[in-house]
Amino acid sequence: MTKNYSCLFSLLTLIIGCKKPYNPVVTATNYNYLVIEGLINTGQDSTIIKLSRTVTVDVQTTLNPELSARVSVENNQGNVYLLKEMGKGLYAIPALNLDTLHKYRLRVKTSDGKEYLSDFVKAKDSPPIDSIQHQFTGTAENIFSYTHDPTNNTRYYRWEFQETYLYYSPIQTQFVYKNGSIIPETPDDEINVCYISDNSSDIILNSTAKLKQDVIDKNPITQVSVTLDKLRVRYSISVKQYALTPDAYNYYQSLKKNTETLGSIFDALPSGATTNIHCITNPTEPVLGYVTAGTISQRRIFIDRAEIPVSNVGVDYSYCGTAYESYKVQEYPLPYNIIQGDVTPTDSVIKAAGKTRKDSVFTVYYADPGCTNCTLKGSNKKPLFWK
Amino acid sequence: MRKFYLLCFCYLFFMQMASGQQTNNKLISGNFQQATIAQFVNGVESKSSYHFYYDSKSFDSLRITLQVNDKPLETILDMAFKNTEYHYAISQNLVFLTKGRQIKTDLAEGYLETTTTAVAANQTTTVADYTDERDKKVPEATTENKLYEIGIKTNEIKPGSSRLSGYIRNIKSGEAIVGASIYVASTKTGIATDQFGYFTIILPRGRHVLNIRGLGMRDTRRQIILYSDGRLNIELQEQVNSLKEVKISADKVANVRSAEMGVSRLNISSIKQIPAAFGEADVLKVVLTLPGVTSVGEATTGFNVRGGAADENLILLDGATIYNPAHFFGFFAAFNPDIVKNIELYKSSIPEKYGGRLSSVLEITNREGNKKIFTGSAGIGLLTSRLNIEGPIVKDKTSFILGARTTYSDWLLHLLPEAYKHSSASFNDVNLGISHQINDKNNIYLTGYLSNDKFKLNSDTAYSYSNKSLVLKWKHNFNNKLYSVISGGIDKYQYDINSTANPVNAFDLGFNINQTNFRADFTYYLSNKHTIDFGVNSILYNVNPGKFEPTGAQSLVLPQVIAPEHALESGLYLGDKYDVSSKLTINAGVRLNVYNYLGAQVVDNYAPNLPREPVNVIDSTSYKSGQIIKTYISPDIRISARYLLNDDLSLKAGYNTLHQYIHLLSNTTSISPTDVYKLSDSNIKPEHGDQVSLGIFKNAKQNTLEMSVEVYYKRIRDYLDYKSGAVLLLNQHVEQDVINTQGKAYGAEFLLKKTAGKLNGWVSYTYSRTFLKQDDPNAGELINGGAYYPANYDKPNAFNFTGNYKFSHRYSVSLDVAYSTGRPITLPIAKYYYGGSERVFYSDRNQYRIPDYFRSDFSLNIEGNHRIHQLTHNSWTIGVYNLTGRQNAYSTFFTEQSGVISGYKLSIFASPIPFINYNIRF
Repeated sequence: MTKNYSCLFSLLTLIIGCKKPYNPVVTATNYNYLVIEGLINTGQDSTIIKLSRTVTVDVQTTLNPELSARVSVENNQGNVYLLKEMGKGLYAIPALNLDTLHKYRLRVKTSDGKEYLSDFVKAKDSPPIDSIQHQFTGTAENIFSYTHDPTNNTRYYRWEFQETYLYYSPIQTQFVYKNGSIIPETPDDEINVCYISDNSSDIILNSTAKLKQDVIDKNPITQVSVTLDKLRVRYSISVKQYALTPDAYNYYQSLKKNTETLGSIFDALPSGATTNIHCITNPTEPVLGYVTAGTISQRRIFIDRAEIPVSNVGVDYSYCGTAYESYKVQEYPLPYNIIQGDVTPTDSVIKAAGKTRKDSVFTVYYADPGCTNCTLKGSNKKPLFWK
Repeated sequence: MRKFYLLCFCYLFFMQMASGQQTNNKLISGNFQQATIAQFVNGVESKSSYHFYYDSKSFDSLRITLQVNDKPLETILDMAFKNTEYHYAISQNLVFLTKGRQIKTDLAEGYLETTTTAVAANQTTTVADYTDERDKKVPEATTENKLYEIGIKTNEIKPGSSRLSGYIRNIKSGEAIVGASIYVASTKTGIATDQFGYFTIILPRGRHVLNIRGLGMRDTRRQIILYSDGRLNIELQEQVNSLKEVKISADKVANVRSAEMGVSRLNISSIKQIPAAFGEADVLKVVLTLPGVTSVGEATTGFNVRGGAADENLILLDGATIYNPAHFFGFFAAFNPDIVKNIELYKSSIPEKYGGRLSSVLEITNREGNKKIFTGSAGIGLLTSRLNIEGPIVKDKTSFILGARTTYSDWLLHLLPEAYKHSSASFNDVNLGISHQINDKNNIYLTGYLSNDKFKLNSDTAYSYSNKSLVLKWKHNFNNKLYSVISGGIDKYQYDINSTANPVNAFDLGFNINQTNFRADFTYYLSNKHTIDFGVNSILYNVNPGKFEPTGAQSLVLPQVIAPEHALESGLYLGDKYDVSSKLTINAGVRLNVYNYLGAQVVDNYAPNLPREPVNVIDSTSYKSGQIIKTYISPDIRISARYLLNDDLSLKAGYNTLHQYIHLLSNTTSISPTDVYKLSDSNIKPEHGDQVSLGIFKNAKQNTLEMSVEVYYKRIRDYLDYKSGAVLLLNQHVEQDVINTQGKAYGAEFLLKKTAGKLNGWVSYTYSRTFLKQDDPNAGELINGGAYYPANYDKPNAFNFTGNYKFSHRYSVSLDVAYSTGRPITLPIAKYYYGGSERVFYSDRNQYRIPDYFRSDFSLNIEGNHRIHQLTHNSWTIGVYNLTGRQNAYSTFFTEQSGVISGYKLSIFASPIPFINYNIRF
């Protein structure tokens, strides 16, 4: 409801108002609070916990991983499962296969000697995703998820997704510049065909608490615009579904409100998202994040270009074109902008005919890397799930 | 010698006349019923030989009811003219009738040492008035230079005081003039008319000049001789040119002389001079220019008075409570400027007859219909149009006024990109007022109000809300000293949200509040020192806090109905305006509030001294329908006093306490149309507030310059705030999500006002602070660790200028300048990565401020020609809102887009907005 309001409101401000960037200098203090993110996976998947620290608002990079911590999962029977540090603030343990009868909690001991402990949480298993469907609405593919729980117990849901799409560079080339020369490309140097992936950044929540049956119908996951390259060749989305406790649902809702739906006239004031993690060495120190337990269900779909009922899909690359430069090899071996990597060659070097070696003139065709090299956007390795 | 003869002649003449009178002493019979003087004279002349001489004009108001059998003419005339100002003189068979002065048919007494039988009809010194009041025609005083005689005329004025009462009306429309002031220079006393244009004033008997001022009326004076208690109706001329002065207060002297503090009165012509965003006069925007009134931002529904929350204002439209006073998210006030007559805002001295809100009472009074002729007006703007018609149903007795307003903003929405193109938004409101004068002592008034708002976003979810009110008022004058107003009415506010976009989730969500009001207010003029107000009022609330239902066969929505709430709020009050001396006046009142929370209801009982959380519910109690669940009895005190240091300088002080039993549940910055109201119950205590204020008031330059400084300190207890993640809509246990908050507010308000001249207007500066804190030990988590924090609407410095300059009778310009400190906000102090995106961690609540606010508006008012007799009168208003185009921050926020947090500043009306409005009167 509030969301629709803000839509209409932003519509009104569109007429009479304006939205401008605003970056007040609030504080220079780096509070350096601990952030704990992750799911105690009671099923067949590994449990991965991510530890990081807050940074000041004005810094460019938010990544501030917390290293050398001791992270363990405990149940209310006293069993302890120690996680292994994987680097980059990630701590993991392979499939735990825990039962859902017990409650679980997370204990973190950081290298500065502080200890953090979550409340015991009930493991909640996600029911399978019934289907992922898509619907075209003129400018975008809308992705929806459907699920139901016949026992009517799940009620609170959260989703994440990863989208991957096949991408062809607008200018195809068989050559690459490598080790000072232009050579034919090998499969490892593939720059024409790539798979580009993107993770969800919005918090996607829904609840059936107000419905007679625990049925999630046509739950919006994301919108894929035809003006992007995602739908140009072939698109795939994998949706992960989490089951939440009411408290966890409230936590995510607060987090979402605080960072995704603020700023319109009827939005709630920012309020603290109530966490279930506490610093036991210093109880007044805020801890960010929420620990949940349970299993995830996952489902993937593919959308082919043929399914899109419009002709213009993707970014307009008509600006991409090739240029060439002719040069004498005794002056320099290759044009400077190729050596610098500012442009990429699109063909091998062509030697002009009928000249002696001394005066021979070479010509090289090149283009903007954004038009030729797809590895700048994604990976040239075909993912395992791609079919 | 010649002189002697002449004297002799005269003597003989008079002798003869005297004897003639005796010889003519014939007996006459007659029966006159409401006879005019001509009928009476003809009747007598036909039965006798008398011949009458009189000026028929002077006698046109005389009606004679008389039945006589065989009486001499003198007796008949004595009876006919008893208690009137008419006199007669008989000379033989000639009868001279005069008004005011008697013709002496003899020479001055002692001149010839002979007396004659000429008799003054009104020699009587009786003060008693035996005629029924009903039969007496109350003089309509319309001219300034005439001396009106009030009461029973006596040849010598008895010492002491008498009471003068009557109505002040518009001579053209017959409409009562509210708040008109009568000031008597000789005694330095003044009084203002009430909401029906009625006044009562006690004056020493004798000759006085009454100076009368009414809003939008020509200043005038009346000369009276007060003989005894009596009545005088005064009719005032309208100011024909509508380029009226900007006036806050009805009367020049009230600023200094009334005992009230923190009261602002504005009439509609002042309101219309202030430039508004879309060119249509806005009643609520004007309130924001007054000292002590702030809002959280532009285009918001509520306003904050002296540190109170937006739901702490009682908004009354002709006695009906208006729960949502705005259209279109607060862009327009829900009051039709063509119908509204004036507004009064009480921020400190809240009369004891009002209760139930903590901060202020905003009384909006609509006009009465024209009792004499049919008239109307229409206005056309870019987004809205309005029309009103009024006129007599029975001339001089019954009139009606009907106003309607609608919008056609959809054209604007259709210009938008595809994603918004199918949106629609509309509103309308209708006012109806009928007033009927049964007789001089009884008047009835019926007013109805209806407002509707609907909007829809791309045929998905449809929102609507509406206010409906009906009030019937009966005013009865028992006598000159006592009158009563009895009224009853119903007010309804409701909203509805429904969506059918996804058949599985299709729903309909509704909220409504119905209240039935009854009031009986009495005013008793005990003596010239005491005016007593007393009365009783009750409100029966029926609140349906939420109904969530499936629509369509496919919908799986589980119907959810929050049990309706019922409560009875009653108040019994007594107040006295006591003029202790000519310098000291005290208004003192008490109000006893009795609040009953009623069944049927199931109430949860919580373990004492533990947070109200689900785990601490001990049990629950079921109550039957109508059963009293919880009673709160709380007395309120309202005191204010004025001490006159000299003629144009006074000191005032006041103290009042207030209670509030209905709470708006809202955790948004400004009121949203989907906020719900909650009644106080066993677990949610009533809000309580008190305020002490002190002021100094000064008038200068013949009362055309008014200055005042007021300071106040206010405490607020048990104001509701919310826990993090509180669910306020469709919550069966709201008490588990709310926290009691304590507040304090203080400030100083400076006002300088020029009420007359080519340039008029006002300048105000306010320094004020408002703090809240949560120290409820049962709250669980505390905001800012239980320390005081600034409220959302805490704006320490506020400056306002509102001015109008009249070039000529046809052209005037208005300028409005507003500055205030930016309101407090909560800003992020750290950021982190979570859930696939950057997230922010917020500071303690309201520790930072948005940039300061500044806006200036300009308008040019052009009147059509001023010929009174023409088919239509028209006028134009052209102007620019936000002249400097300053991009005032409405809000600032930090939001995630594609995984990155960015800060934004949102501005509304961020560029100069030109407007034009065309008005027509017919």
